[in-house]
Amino acid sequence: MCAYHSNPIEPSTGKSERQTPMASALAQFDRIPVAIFAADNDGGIFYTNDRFLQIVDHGSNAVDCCHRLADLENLVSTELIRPARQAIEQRTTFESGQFIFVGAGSRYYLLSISLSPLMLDDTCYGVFGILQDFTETADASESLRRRIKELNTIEEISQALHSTMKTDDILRIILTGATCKEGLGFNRAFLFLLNEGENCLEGKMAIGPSNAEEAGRIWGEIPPGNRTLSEVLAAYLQNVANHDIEVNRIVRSLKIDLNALTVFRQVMESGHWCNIDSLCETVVHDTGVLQALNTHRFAVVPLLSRGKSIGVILADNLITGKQTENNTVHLLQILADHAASAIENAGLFEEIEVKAASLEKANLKLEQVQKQIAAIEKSSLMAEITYKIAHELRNPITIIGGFAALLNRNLNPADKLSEYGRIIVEETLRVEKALAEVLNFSKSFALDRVRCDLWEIVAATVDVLEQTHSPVTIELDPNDGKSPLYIRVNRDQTVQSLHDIIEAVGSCLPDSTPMRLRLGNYEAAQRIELHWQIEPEAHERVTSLLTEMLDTRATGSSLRLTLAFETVRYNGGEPGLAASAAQDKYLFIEYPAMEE
Amino acid sequence: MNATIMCVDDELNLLRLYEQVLAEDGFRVVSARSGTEALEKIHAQQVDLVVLDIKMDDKDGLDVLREMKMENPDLPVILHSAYSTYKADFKSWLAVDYLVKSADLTLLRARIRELLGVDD
Repeated sequence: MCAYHSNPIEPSTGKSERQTPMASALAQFDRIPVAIFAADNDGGIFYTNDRFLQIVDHGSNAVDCCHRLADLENLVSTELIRPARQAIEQRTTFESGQFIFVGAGSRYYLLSISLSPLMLDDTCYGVFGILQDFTETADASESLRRRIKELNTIEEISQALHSTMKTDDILRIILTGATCKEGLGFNRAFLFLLNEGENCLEGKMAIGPSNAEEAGRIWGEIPPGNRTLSEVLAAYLQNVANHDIEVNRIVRSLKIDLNALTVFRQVMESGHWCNIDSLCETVVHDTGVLQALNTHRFAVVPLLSRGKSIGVILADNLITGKQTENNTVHLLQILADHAASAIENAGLFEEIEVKAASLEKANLKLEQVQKQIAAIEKSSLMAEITYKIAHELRNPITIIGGFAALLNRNLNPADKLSEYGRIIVEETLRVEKALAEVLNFSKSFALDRVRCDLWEIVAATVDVLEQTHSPVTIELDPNDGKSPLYIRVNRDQTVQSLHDIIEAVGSCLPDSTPMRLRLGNYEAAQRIELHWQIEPEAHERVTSLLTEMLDTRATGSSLRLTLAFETVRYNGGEPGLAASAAQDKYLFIEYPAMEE
Repeated sequence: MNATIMCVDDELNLLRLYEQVLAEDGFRVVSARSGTEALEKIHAQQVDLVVLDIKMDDKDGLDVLREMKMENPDLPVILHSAYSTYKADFKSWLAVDYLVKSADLTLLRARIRELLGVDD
């Protein structure tokens, strides 16, 4: 393309002999990447370089449509004639503001024009113009701004991810970050997690509309304006909570078989993301899944945790049809990396929580067992003290009673003193008898606690109930195992207390209500459970009666039952009321388990 | 009626009671307030029967019993204790009887008479 205009160069002095040197001078600008033009003193454009023609040319010779400054002024809609005249007459320079220009091939340009006098040997030959193209700079600047925003968003998402330890919240944050306008701006995002047992990816969660109508509704509910990411997350989460959106339902029903060679398996195995816009010919799609998601152009990124893929995120622009840039997929991968780490942390946290809860439970149980042991030791000590005191008393009682009897023998029975002696002997023998009972009681606690099998104790109790023709009906649960359940108790006392408790519970229940005994090991305890089935209206009354019985301060319950519960406690056991899964109340007694 | 009974107990008043009651029953009573004293006295004189306490300050009654039986295997010894638990101790089986102390001395007196072959 010819860069020279055919117009003669006419300097303000009118000396045409300068034309050749000027033409030579301007020729050096022919191929530079900046658009240059020159106009004579009459406004006729006599020089344009290649870059100028690239911008201004509409496919034909630019000079044909742009002979004069006035033509160019019209073309760019920017004032040029007046500033050119000023430049020529006053030797001043002019720079226009930036303006948008639709140039060759209907391409948009962001331009500015500078004009300065065209001088040679102090003679002005017209104006020299530079057309500055800011289009690429502006594009790059805009792109950079967008990237910075996206990176900031990823940073914010990353912080949000690490602020929670709940896996579901993490998954929502990831998908929200991928889809929100303030984030990566995908229309939809789907999360699949690896099921190692079945070697497949299972759909867990999705965010986004399934069609344009739903898109309008969902996006319409999100308030406009600048918001912080946390506000965006809150709004999106609220939105998701309000509608169990179609994609969420769809994705939960999906499984991707990893035995088949698909893009998902490729991404999982390679650990590299995939943008199907550019790879669609080279990958095999899982057609069933893609049909269900109604998508054919999408990006898939792996969730990598310690070098291992634990799932994938699939994202697309189904509604807007916008092409997904590789840069955006790369950002999605960064987000997925953060997400994988957060998911792993959450998993570990949940594991720790479960273990901590179990440890706490074990500690509570241990504390309870320690209390029971302390109670046993305390009662043993009390028994030992009682035992010693009883013995200490026995000698003086023997002496008092013995001498009283001796005295009595030597007195006349008719004598009043003889009667007093007899009273002393009788009362001494009464005290001695009471002392013997105390000794028997304390001796049993101090010395008679032996290893017993709870099954044997229950069998003995049932025998006693049968022998005494008790109206209570007892059944043993056939589902219970028969392995021994060892406890350390006073056997006879335990049988007696269990018998008394069963009879007392039976007396609270409506007539002929059968009771079922269940036995088993419950953590560090051996447990007897006493179940019954009664009409719902009788529940409250029975529960109230049993609660009163269990209350050690209660005075309304019978002495026999109070003693039964106290005997259980003396033997290291603990009675209580509990509710079954069906909310039926049942009574239980737990004894510390003893190793075989 | 000349049988001699040795009563061993660290309770002085109990010894006085035994002395009185058994004397009334026609026995001669030798008292000892400790195991050591009992072993010394038994060397010095003839004793037909011993009523022996178990829990004493200086020497355990069961040890005293063992020494007495080593010296004289035919000597009848009645263990007379406030504790019933020593019945389970095999050392107590050397004694002819084991009686728990009581204000009612009827059983003790009856057993002594029986062992010494004295009619009521």
